[in-house]
Amino acid sequence: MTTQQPPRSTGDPELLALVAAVAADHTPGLHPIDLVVAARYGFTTDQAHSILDAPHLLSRLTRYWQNHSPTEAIIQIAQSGDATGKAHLELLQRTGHIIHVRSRSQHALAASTAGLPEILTDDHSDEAGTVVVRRIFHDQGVLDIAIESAHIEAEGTFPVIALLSLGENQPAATRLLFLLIPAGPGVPAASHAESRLHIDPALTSDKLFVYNTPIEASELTGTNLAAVRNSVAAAKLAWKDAWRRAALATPDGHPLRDAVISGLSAQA
Amino acid sequence: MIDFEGDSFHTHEQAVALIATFYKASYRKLLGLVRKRFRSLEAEDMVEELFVKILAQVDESADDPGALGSLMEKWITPAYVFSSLIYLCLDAVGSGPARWEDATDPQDGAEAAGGEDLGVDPANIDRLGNLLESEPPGLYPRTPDQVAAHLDTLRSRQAVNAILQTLLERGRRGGGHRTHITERQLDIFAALYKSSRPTSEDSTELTDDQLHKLTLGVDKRARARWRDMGGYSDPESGNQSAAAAELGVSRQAVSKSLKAVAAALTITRYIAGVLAPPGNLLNPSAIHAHLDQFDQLRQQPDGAAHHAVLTAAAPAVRTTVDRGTRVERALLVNPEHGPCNEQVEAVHAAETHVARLTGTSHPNCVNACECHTRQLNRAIEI
Repeated sequence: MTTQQPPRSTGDPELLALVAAVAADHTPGLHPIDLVVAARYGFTTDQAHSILDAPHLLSRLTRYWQNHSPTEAIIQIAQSGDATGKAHLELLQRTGHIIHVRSRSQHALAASTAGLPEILTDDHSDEAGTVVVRRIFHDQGVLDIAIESAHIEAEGTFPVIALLSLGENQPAATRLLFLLIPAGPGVPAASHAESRLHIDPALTSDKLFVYNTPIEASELTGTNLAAVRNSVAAAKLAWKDAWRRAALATPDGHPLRDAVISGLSAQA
Repeated sequence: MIDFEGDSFHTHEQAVALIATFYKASYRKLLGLVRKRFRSLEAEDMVEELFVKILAQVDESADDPGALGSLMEKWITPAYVFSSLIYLCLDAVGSGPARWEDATDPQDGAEAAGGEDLGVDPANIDRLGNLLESEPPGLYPRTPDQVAAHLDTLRSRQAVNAILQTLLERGRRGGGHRTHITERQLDIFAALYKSSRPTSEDSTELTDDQLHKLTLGVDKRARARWRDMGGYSDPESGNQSAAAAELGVSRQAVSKSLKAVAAALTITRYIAGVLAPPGNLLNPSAIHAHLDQFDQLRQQPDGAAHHAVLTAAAPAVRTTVDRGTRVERALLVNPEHGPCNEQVEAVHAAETHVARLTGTSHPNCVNACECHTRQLNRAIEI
């Protein structure tokens, strides 16, 4: 604390000495411990852009998030739609936790061909181990979405990955959740999920992201929990049953139970 | 055990921030401890892993102020942190209990790393993955007064860190008329203190040899930052030769940087600390908000005069036992600005104006008036 001294143009000497000591090591806000705190609870916009601009820091964050998945707080911020949210979205994308689903299949078929779907395939198996296939049955007005992950273990647990849609100048919103179950014989390393629902422009657009870091079904909260009902309703039969088992594994009164029951009795 | 009830810093956010501040201050020692005693382990990974475990504990107690206070006390105690890191490392290398005293005496490790006060009996520590859950007796050698003083020190450090982060961010966003500092100014400032701390306010009194050493110091900091950024170079910043030329430190640059950093810190402490709610200086976002209001004064018809008055008054902020941290009236005497009373009233009016803009009900005003004062001796963090 300062003592009674006349003011000097160079300011409080003790304060300045403390500042010099604090600034001696890392740039304030970008210390490895600052990054751990921010990676868990949220970055300032400036922190996020500094990391995006610096391969060394981005690599550090990637490694951290590989060991400790982004928290619900980070996801919520990323969905906020403001400048900070967009910066978080980009961090998640650059570290491989969000996949931008947008590419058009080379083999897309004419929408007018009766009975044959237009197929949109996003193969990110190399970098993220995830493949997303959207089959659009224009004549029936329905859309099948299948997601396969080679990196997520679904044995004895109920991992969920989320599909987010992002409108122009709108925050990202969780549109659909996919509860993964192990694939059958022949593809032992992959877990996958399938859903069928009515065609929705938001789900066939290029503003679509997959948040492919698994969240345990019992730990869904906020907008993710709110998406459970529609996701259960849209899930194909085997995955409806998986949702039921996930709900039964939670204690009485758990919010997942109500959401799943509501989804099981609803039409997609 | 210290009673943290009634203390305004036992929220989850503040517990995280204070523990992080302690951890940053101890970071190099913690790395050194692992590097010296556990060479097969990646020091940064182990130190980070312990910190993540600490955060997980704090998160679990987010809604329990009492538990947060206990956790905070525990995780800012050097002995506890150092011993926990040692046993986390022991777990990682897979050594059994019989080997503890032979191969890796925790006391030795801590001493080598600077943790001389590590007075922990290994038998009291659960090392089977639940090390951080344990609360063995005898780990709190500090008295309550010492713990409180330790917390004050950490809060000061945290406030400085938050101020610097904020001022640098404002500089990166274009600076201009916003209160800010640049990384180059901070480089020069830090190098100046490291090489030859100024004894005079006139930095141009540096000798040629001191100036040369300072140039080397600034250059070293800039290179280290460049490495930290992964060799990234902003194309807008020009080529390397231009950057090198920019790093040349003249006496004028030293003087200018020192004054710029000091002025930014002084006004930030005043606006975002003295005239703000308690704890405001611990939060970069809150500091941003208060500085924005202050900077915008200049564009307002009646604000420019207030801005000038506050800028002039900021260096007169002092902390005393009786009156806390506020502008010291006696230090405002300035023949160029007429009678002292009028100047004091001008300062009070400007303080009231900016407090209204920032929504601060109880600023530490120069008059310590009844309207503004809830706690006369409220001292801010720095």
